[in-house]
Amino acid sequence: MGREPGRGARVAPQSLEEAAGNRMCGICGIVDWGTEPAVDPSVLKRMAWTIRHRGPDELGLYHDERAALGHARLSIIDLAGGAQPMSNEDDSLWIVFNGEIYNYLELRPELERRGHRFKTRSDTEIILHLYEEHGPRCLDHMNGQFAFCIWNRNERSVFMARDRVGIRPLYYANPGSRLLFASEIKSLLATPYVSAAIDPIGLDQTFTFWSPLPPRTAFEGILQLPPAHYLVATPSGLRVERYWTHAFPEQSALEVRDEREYVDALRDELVKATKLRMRADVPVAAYLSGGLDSSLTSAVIKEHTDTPLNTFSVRFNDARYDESAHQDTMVAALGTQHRSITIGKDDIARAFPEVIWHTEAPILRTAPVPLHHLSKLVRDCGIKVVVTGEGADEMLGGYNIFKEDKIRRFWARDPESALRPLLLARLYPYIRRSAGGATDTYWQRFFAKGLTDTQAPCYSHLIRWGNTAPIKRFLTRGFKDRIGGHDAIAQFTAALPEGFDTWAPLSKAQYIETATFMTGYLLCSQGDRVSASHGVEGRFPFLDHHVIEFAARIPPKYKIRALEEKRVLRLVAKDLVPDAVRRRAKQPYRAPDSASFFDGEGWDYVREALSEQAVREAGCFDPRMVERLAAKCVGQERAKPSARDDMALVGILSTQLLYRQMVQEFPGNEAIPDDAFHVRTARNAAR
Amino acid sequence: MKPYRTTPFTSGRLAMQHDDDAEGIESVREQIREFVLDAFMYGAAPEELDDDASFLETGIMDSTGIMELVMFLEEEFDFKVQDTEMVPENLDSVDNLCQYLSKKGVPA
Repeated sequence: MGREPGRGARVAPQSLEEAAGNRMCGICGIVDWGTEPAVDPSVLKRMAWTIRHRGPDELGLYHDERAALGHARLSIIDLAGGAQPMSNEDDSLWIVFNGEIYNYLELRPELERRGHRFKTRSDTEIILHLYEEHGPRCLDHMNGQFAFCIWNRNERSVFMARDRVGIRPLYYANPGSRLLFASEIKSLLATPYVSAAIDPIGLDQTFTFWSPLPPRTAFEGILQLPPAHYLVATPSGLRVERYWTHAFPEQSALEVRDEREYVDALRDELVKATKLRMRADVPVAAYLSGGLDSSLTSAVIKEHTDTPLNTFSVRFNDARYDESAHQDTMVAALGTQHRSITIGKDDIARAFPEVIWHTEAPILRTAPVPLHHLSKLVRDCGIKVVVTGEGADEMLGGYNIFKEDKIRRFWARDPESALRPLLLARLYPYIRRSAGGATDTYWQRFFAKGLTDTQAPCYSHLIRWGNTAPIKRFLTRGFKDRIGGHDAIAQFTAALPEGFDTWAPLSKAQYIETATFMTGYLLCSQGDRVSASHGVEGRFPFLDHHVIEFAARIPPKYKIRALEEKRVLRLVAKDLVPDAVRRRAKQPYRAPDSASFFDGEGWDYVREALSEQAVREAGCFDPRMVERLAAKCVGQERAKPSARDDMALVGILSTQLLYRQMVQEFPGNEAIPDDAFHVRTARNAAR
Repeated sequence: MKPYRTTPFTSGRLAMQHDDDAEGIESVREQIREFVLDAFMYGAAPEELDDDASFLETGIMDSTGIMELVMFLEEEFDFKVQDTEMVPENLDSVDNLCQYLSKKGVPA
């Protein structure tokens, strides 16, 4: 990938046309319970037009007097008959849906027996009839990744829902008598009813958990429907309810059977989940990172399909980030048709503004950018669906943070021990280098903070959150005042599920990791957004709720034995993945961070976004502190940027770009072609 | 050697019980051997691990490896190792470990 002349990457799209110039499904809609004459379909058109990169195959529109629904469609199942918005038998219910209901074939016969008549063989129609049959409890029957909205014309009510872990996004705003919803925030901003302003508390949460806590977003007044929740809106008001919880058994009642039983059952669940995710009327490919999780999902696909498997990977020209050798091992073992892209610092810097346009949230690392490039490669190869290993680390204990928690609890059993903390060197090699030296006291003190407070609900994550929070020092006085006494960690803790206190330490850490980092960041900024940016849909067997629920019942000691992470999964992989990959230690997926922006002459847009004027205009950060940080990252200061500086730089730069793209220069009123939409109306429209 | 198997947690503690007839039974010695072979010897064949071989001298483990072994012992057998007990005489071979565990009340 070449360097762009002048190193001046575009910061804001010139038009919505350009923003959507790339090509997954997107949904949007307006419902108005007010007294104004009718919903304006032209506003709805603009909303749908703004997110058509998610669904390049067809734009659909439905409207009546009180509601308008829009859909940008990526055709995957029932290519001919799945057009949306779609209605039920008597046109009283209208749905727009983004995602997949994988068990739709199994759900249909029962619905047919109960008298439901189907017009298509799409999964969309299944939801409508399930809802007719079960109401909100329809969600209990669905296995999938989804965000949808059903408009009930007769009752003038709305039912919206989002999948259990938040794979598909769904945002909404409630200005006045209106309810607006969409797959992406920018669609809401395309209406005259909502405008963007950076939310200080959203920023405070981002600089704690890496993303805002649902229902909050980075923007004031714009909310996200939390994962595993549904929303019901009627003329008399709006309520949001939880329908599923990522729950773990009580530690004292944990059943411990022979390890082999768990290995066999997990293998069965994983095979079932993977096969379900192969259901599509288009080719399905796989991401192959070179790690255990995606190697295993690829191997399972390979074992259960006859068609040649296409695999894709990111490579780095900096060996510190690159996993090519392990990818090659897997490609050779599976005999896949493999394609890869090689990413350098310039590729990250050049595409960063475009990626922020898609993330719609500040990010603290650049790691989503290479995946944005990768989804383009996938799309260019004519592929719309990729299976990945996302979720394995959360469900089966793959992360260092779980081992860190375990070591600190091991240490806390004897806090005066001089030897127990040495185990941290197994996680962090820099400790090994300094062991015995004067720095021992320093790193031990770092990890000893709150050491014996093992009953603290978020014990596992307090060190990490404490290490991210210093970015908040860059906030302006005005922003800090607006954050006031808000305590992000206290808010998260107050919302922990019933019974949390009775779970095993690893279970608690898994829940927290899933509810914060996975849902808010990995599945969103590093997931949906950078695959939907090129109209590619990710599918995640480890996030099948049957796999999640089974994994929650696996005893912690089989997930992490001593410090061997994902042990039970390694055993599942025994005959499927070569030992060189199966036994290797996990390498976190990372990309070059602040160094990407200051290589060589640096990038004009970065200088501009971090300039005193731009920082002052946005009003979020102290310009002088940002100037010093940038100088440190450029190399003008004696001290080299630390990992914390890297996070601060990427976080601040992305916030600045977000301000410019969404608040300052949101693309204006370009013309939308008249023939862009397929318009549907009710046959017996109520007037 | 008396075979043991793990049984369900009771009050969060792992209990050990005799069960000569159960399938998949493992003696304490076998549990230790299996852990060392798997975690530190990359799944080497059982004959490659002599029960009297020093972990440190043969390079099977370094000092942090020994600590991981201690973590495994505490997790599996539910007792606590004091710093003063973390000496080669207790921890540096399969034989030494079995003797040490026996002294701690875990029969090998």
